[in-house]
Amino acid sequence: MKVHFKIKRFNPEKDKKSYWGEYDVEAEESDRVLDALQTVKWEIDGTLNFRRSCAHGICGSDAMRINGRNSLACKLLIRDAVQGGKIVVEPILGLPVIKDLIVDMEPFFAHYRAVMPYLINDTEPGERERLQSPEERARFDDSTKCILCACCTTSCPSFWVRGDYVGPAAIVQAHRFIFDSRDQGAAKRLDVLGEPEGVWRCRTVFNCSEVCPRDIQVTQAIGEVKAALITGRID
Amino acid sequence: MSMIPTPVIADNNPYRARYLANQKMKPRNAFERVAWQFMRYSGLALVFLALSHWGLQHLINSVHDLTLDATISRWGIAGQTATLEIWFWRAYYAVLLGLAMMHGLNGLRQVLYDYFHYRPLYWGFMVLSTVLIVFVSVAGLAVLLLGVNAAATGAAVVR
Repeated sequence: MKVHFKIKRFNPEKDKKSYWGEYDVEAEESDRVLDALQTVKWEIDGTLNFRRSCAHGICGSDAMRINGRNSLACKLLIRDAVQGGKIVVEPILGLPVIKDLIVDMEPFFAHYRAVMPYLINDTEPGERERLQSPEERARFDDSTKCILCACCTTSCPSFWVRGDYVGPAAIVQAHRFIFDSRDQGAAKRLDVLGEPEGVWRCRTVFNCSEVCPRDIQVTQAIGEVKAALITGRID
Repeated sequence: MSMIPTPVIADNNPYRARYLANQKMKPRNAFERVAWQFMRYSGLALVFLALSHWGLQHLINSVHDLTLDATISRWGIAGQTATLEIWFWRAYYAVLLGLAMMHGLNGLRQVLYDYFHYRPLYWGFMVLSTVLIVFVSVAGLAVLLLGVNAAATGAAVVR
């Protein structure tokens, strides 16, 4: 099938403003949007820039706004994306654009680092390892699925209007450790998330849960962190 | 095929003890948390208060009877001893007014915080809206608690 692509282009060395690049691509219905973008880059216009690494929905580098909805270009099929023979592709919102579909992820990762996304435990692990029951592991299973693609954070209106909001992805990462029975840093992380730029900026819009390519219940994770802050308990 | 034993966490396991200790935590920054909880509870209360006010005005009483007299029958007249029923309605409307104003002010604060990144502008609008909302609340409470000045308003029936 023939698909008309409208891609937001911006080259800081040449352009004062972004503009729409329009391309007609011959693609199979079962192709992914990424395949079509590669066709554009390899066969039509080699100056098009976008990130992609694994191309199989694991590395999270090709998050983009496709027909107004954040998605991984490598996970979204043409037949699911196309609307009236057209696909509109833009960089994810709320982060500075470097070139074409590539954004500066540093503000996003700064929030990620702020929640201390690593195991905090000063005690000896014991003879073999830190044990955990299947129930305790299941408690934070959903939030371990995050691949840091930034689909959720850059779909959040609170993040769009105020980039210092820590954002859903960082909260999911904090959730992954707060509810881990082997971790001891919950109080520290909850201190960060209890700040004015923490979880309270979340207005339960649900965009994050809606767009997560890993189907993480992001809003629920944020709600559980809010509950932990209110009750002072993590269970 | 080797069997994997089910992990059992001993009560004397050091990290387990620290984990349990971590379960009683006192978050440091209380303001935003309290404001967030207030929005939820006041919002829920306002649904019932506003709906019952609407039901009272439009279903129980007729739309055509929404006169000053109807108001006086619930809020009382300035200078006259108020009955228990009047005190009930005064309390009802004081809670409705107070919650609505504070709920609105906090909502406005969030919107201003989101969109006015220049601090003096944010604080300017915050002070302005707080003054306006305090003025409306105080004026409303004064009428509620002191009663309606029927003579000044020229009500048809003075009971």
